[in-house]
Amino acid sequence: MQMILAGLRQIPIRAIAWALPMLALAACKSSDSDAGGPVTTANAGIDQSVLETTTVTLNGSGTSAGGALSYSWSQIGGPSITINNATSAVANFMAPDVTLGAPESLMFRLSVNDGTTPAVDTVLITVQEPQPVVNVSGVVEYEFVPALTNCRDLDFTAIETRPIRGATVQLVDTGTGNTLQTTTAGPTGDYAFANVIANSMVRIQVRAELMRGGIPVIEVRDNFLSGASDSDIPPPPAQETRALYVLVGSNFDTGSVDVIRNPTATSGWDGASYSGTRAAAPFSILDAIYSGIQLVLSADPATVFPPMDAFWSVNNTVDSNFDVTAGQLPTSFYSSGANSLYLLGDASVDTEEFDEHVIMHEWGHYFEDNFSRSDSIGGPHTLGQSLDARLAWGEGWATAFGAMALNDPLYCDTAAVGSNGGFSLDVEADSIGVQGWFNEISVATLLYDLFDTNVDGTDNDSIGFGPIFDTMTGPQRFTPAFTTIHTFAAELRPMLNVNGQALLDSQMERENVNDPDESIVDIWASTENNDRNGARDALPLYTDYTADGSTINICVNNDLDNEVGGNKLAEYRYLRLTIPTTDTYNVVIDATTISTPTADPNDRDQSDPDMYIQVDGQIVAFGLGPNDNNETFTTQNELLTGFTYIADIHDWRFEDVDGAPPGYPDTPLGNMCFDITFTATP
Amino acid sequence: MQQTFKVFFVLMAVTLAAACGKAEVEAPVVTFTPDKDIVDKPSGPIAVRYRIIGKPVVGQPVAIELMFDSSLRETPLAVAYRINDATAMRLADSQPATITVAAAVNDAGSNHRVTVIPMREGRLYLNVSASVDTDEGSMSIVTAIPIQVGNAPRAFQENGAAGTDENGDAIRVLPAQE
Repeated sequence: MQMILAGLRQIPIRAIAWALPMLALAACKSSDSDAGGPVTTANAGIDQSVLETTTVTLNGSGTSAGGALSYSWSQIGGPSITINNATSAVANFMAPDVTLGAPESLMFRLSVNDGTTPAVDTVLITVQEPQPVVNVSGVVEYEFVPALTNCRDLDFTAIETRPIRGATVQLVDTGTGNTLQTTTAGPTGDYAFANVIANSMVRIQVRAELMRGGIPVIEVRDNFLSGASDSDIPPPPAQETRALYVLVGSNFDTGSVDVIRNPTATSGWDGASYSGTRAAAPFSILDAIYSGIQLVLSADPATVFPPMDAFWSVNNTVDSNFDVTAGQLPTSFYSSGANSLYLLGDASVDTEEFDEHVIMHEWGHYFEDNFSRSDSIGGPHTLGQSLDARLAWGEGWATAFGAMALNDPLYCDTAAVGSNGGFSLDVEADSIGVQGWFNEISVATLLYDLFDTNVDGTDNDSIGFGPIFDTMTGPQRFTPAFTTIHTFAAELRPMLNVNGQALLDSQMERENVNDPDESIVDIWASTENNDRNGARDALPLYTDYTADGSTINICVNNDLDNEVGGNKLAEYRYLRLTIPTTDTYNVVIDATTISTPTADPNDRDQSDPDMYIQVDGQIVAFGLGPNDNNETFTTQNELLTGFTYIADIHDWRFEDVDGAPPGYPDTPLGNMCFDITFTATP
Repeated sequence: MQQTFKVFFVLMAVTLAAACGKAEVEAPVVTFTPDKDIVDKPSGPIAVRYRIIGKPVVGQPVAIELMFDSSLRETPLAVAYRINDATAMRLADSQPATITVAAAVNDAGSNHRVTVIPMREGRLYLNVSASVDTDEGSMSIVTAIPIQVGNAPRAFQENGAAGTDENGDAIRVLPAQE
């Protein structure tokens, strides 16, 4: 009956007037006997709603009380039609041509006779003209603002329109707000919706998200909440629920012919300033990441991308008082804990939405963190500095990855709009600072030269992205050593043919990595001789130590860390541990170079050694105590004989959590040495 | 010592699995999430650090100590001070808008001082641009120094309109041009 009523919604009153008695008759159908024996029954099938000029099947059946069954179909209502096979259980007819908006109802009766008591049933067929439909298609685009050739500002005279590739495009009913159809923009921003009801009011929306397998793997969201702070109680809404950027087109009538709509996200630039909505920004960010995804898929089409948010706001400014909700960021960064990017957008301070290389650099960190392994210690770094090997590797990788994904070696980072600020780095050609394994530019250049096909001095070949991807997602992920250029090169080398190995060796030589014999590189940098022009404590990268109660003396220094970031060359030293007995261990670290305390009790004028111990990329123990000149701890886990454990030793006082400039008493420059002893617990 | 850190211990049991008559052992690990999980974007070849001296007050000079550290040590830096909102803050009369920072000696940075005068309360910004000429052209980094004057909040901008989608999820509506 529900079906009947549903069908009646579009039936004119005159049709209902005669159909109702028929329905009453149908309700009384059947000729069941009260005797309880076999009975004759008729079933004319379920009511149907069909399109005009189509063949309609009348699907009847019956049961016999004894004799052979005969069937007879007849029309008892509606415009007259001819029934084919009218004496069979299954008959058919051609639905008549009807008028749009005026469906016709046809009633048929099936008589079933077995020579005893005849039975009848009826069925209602509603014939309609199909709804007229149109196709809605077009391209979704955004305005991209390129940088000036020297990257010292954006060039608003050269705005170009680019496709929004891969984003979710929706056809929305403007009356209800419901999504009628959803699709994904193609590589040219193209989209198409078929069979859209004609003469209806709809609009096109584009969500700043990339979906794969029905899951949003990248979403661009607004982290800023006006008047709110990360420190609010109760806390502000979770970051992953913050507003997703959605480009919303104008409402339009689909009309009666196919429609083309090309919604464009504009920059908001009026020729002198940002006075309009900066709609292009989220889609520029999204499109840069799309390039990265394509590069990864070129190596492994089955790659599954862990979901990630990219947060951007016009209110995201530089501020040392870190508060994501308030739009206060130290700079643009990737957070492994949140698996998210955070990008600046304050036009008077720094904007990133059109700095594709900055976006891709940070997404390169996402890739390394999710598909490979990052042992980077993070922190501030400027181009050309001599960094901790893990940081140099991670930063060099991210810059090179961006250049590969964008197929452009020119890293470009513009500053505040109109400030004439910004810088470029030609990953293929530029060199700043002392070259080597500690220089992020050396790492980036080496990686990019392995990838690119340009002939550039000794860079006269290419291994492509495949081996790089395979190394990153394979052995580099599980290497026993800290992830550095040495682990990557050592793990990559066996994957290459002779020509590839020759290219790797020549580029390592050019960047002064694993000097002097690049061909014997190992994950421990055992043969590395580049000590950054004699920098103390730069080499060896690893010092071997057997945890048998003996004492080893290790020194660190911050000679190369004027900005007091605690992450430069020689501020960490690495140990490779041999564990003689499976046990938990007492670890004692005593400073052997003790500073003279200053008069200020708040000065961090004493050494504060810390240590992490890890195996296969997993931290298994650490000592982060607050004592001056000593760190004593018991490993939180047993250390197992037969495994290769590594540890790093660091002086916390090299890190400047207070943000005080150098030269102040709490951030002395210098070196510290430690006696380190591992003893198995009794 | 990490002043603040989050440590989540997941002390995993040692997994023993017989394989070809030999037990394979998986080392127990600590799942550790330090708060220092942030990887900054690369800065240009110049690092600028700063410290604001004293509490900024409207109409009173505010001194800011700066330290410039360039990876291109042999090259002098061209430094320019810029204030976007001229009604909010200005450079002190005696403060030149541009200076040249001589090439650093060895690995040491160079310290300088700039003086500004806030003209209203709020979160005001001094942009410090430091440029250096290289063989490949000039590079410039801009460091924004926030100066909080009084308790007035920072001025914010609207970009698009807040809304919800059909599922009730928050969205920011950006109008398209068609």
